[in-house]
Amino acid sequence: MYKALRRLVHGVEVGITVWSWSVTLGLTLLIVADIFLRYFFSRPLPATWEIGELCMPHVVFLPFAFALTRGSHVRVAMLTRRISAENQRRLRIATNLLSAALGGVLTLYSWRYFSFSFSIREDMLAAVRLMWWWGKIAMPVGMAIFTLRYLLDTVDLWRAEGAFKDS
Amino acid sequence: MDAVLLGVAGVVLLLVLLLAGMHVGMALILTGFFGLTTVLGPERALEMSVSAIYGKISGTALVTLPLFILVGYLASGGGISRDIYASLELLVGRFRSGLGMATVLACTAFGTVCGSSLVTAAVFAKISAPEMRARGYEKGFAYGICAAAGSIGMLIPPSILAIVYGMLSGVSIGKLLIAGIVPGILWTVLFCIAIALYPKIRPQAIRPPASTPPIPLSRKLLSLRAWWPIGVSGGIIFGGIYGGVFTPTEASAVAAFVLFVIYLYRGFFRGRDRGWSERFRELYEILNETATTSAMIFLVLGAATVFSNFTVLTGLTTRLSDYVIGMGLSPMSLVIAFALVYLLLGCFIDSISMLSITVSLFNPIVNAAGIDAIWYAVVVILAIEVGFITPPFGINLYSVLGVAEKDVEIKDLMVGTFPFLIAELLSIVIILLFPALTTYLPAFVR
Amino acid sequence: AEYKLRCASIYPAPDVPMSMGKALQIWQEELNRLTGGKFAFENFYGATIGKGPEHIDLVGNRTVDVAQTFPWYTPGRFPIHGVTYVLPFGPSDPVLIVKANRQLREKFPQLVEDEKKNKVLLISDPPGGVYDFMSRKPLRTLEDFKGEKVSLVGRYFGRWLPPGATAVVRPMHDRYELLQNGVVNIDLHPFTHFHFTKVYELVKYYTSVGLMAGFHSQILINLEAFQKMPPEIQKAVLEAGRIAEDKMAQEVLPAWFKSCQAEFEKAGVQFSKFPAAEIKKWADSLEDVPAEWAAEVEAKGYPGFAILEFWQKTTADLGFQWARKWGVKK
Ligand code: NA
Ligand code: NA
Repeated sequence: MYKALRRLVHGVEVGITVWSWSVTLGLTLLIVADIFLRYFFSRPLPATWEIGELCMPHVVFLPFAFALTRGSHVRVAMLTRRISAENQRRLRIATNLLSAALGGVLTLYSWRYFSFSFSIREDMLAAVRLMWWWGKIAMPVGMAIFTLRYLLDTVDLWRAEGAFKDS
Repeated sequence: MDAVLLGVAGVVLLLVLLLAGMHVGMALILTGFFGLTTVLGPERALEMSVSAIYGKISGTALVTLPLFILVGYLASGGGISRDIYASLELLVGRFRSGLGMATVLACTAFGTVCGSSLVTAAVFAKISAPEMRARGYEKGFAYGICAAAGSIGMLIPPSILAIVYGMLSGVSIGKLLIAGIVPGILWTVLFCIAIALYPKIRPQAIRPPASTPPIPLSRKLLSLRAWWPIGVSGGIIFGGIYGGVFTPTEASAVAAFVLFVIYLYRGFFRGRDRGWSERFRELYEILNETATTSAMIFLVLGAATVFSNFTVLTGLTTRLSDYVIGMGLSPMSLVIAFALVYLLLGCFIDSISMLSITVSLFNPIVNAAGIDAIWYAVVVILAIEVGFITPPFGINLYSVLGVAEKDVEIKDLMVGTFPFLIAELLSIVIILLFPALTTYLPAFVR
Repeated sequence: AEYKLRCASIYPAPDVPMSMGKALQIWQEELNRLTGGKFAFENFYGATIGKGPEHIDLVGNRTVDVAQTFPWYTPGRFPIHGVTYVLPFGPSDPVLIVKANRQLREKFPQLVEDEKKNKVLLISDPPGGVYDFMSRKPLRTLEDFKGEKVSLVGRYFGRWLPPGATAVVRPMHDRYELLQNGVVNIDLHPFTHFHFTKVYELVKYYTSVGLMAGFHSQILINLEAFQKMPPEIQKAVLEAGRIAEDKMAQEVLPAWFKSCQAEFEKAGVQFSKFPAAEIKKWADSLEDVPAEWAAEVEAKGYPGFAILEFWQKTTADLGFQWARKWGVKK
């Protein structure tokens, strides 16, 4: 059951990371196409800049969890390196729980941030119809999986009593 | 609660959380959130945290970050940077400090198309630092060079900081951009000197190269073939910006596109020695690394905005500024005091917010004291840039750490950037003593 | 002080030359003059605690009590607040604009209803400069726009360009670089923004077109904060808002334009007015974009066509001559 949950969360975090870099590649092509059409045909795309604004949250928030799995998020190890492995494990559990709690409330509040925008169909001040929520939805999704990843890591740490190894 | 006390409490809490090993971004958000709660209550503090993070991240000013990170990963993953450093080793390898100096010069060159310090630092930490390490540079020093030299790009045009400063202060943006050129070159020179001198103080900083037989000139020249990807992409980007085809911000997308095409040509379709699944795996890895690295840097950036909002909303920033203004200093001490404020603030809040708050407080006083506006502006920009590598919160340190190899710690970077911190402070002293360094060139701008 | 108000503005502090933050400062000074100093303010200028669109939420959820921003950043929440942004070639006299805006507000209660829905109330609508062009080459006829790229923002500006010109949509901070590198040769902004973004260092022709009535820098108060105030204080809040509008229109803006013109001319900028005959030709060549807008907001239940009609008629009664009629129902 727990293993299945782990597999599921990992699948989701990888899936949304793939989506994230697909958006990065798409944005690259969009900007290049915009420049090309503007310079050679004087027909730029109507709202590249605003679309970029909607892309960025997908680029940024969605890989939060996978970055955690891969150990990309930075932390200061100056002090924790010097204490016993068991104390390191306990400290890591504490900071993970703190992060999970923070991630949880940020998920909730970013969900509200998104759902309000969605409920009023809030559109951007752009030359074509663009909805703010297209970007805003990425934050609660990214934060939720991020939070879950913190919790799963904590469970693993909990079980790893006496066998902690810093990744 | 008193703003100053609250600020101190915030910094202490942040340090405790960081030392306990909490991820830097989450520690910044949590501290900022607690600070905001004292002013706004938990509900609105959370709402503000969310909108601050979202607002920072969705801004198009930062589009360049993931795109240039992608450039860095494509260049290193595709072996472009490896081949170039191999060539560099042939060309200047017998000279211990040569590779480091070449990296500084490369950062300066990259700075002519990129206006962001932390982006330049991250890109070169990815493509240059591992190559330097492989050739005998100590890890902290190799990455420290990139963290420091990344800032040169913000001095020489284009520069986001100069444009924002110009708008807020009323100083000519054209003059400001030009005024940054000499300090940019000064940093380049000082950093090169630091790289030459440092190993004399700390011999393990660069391991001497194994004695090799002299390399024939023909082989050196032949190695220059490895430079074509840089030649092509550099030519397109440089020509595009200065030929009026696209802006520096858009250049990041063009660079990513060009590098992607070069990668596909060099590393993907021509990599006959490897099977297709291996080639796809490498590309997949490059893209995943790009995504997670960008995410990491953005988490810190967004989090710093929450912390920044806390210092602004509690009135801490204004209090500090008012305190310095109230000291009634002579013109020179005033410039030094303001520079110190920027250095200190640079540790906690992002540079644009910092300027928005302080320029309208400081500049009337600076103007009234008859201080040259351009000279002062350069000193301010230099001071802010020093803050990018000062521990514990220098943003360049964290962006370099984000792309660095796994065994690199913040401590290594602090040690490795130290010679450059000295060089940067020295440059401020030089600029303070010789204002003409900043005012000579701008005088030619109408 | 009896009342402590936290105020946030997307504009720079009032000591930055020609910052619309000045309007907020006037409102605060007038409010204290009217109430005998009952108010203390804590100000956050320069969008330091949130970006433009976020300021609506900051004041709506009472993170701050007062915000100076631009409700039409989110057109979905304030569909008709941007009516003057919909009509090309509107009036450029700020005094007239202030008068017409007040009548519009009285006539259409939907404006206040939308504000209340977002938990805010507009207390002052100070006008800013009208939209003009600065360009590398002089603009004397519509022909001069042919093949040129023009940097601008917003929903409709791009469709108002003369035939043959291309819109390049880009925020304020990018304009200097766009012009410097020659990606565009023409910039569309009010004079205050030309001054702030310093593009006059690069392009030396200023052409008054009045492509749109002055831009807004509206001051909003949190609804609950307002409703909790006793009636006489509420009156003072609104009265100070009206005085801020009048002062900006009658004194501040004209003085700014004069000093701006002097400063620009010192930098070698030449000022000219786009010929009325060309504007007439230009206006006739455009699609009736306002009618599209009206149909769109009518679908949401607002009297879109009536609003356009009213605004045009009111300004005409006050002495403005429209180049053509806009917002004709098909
Ligand atoms: Na630069
Ligand atoms: Na710092």
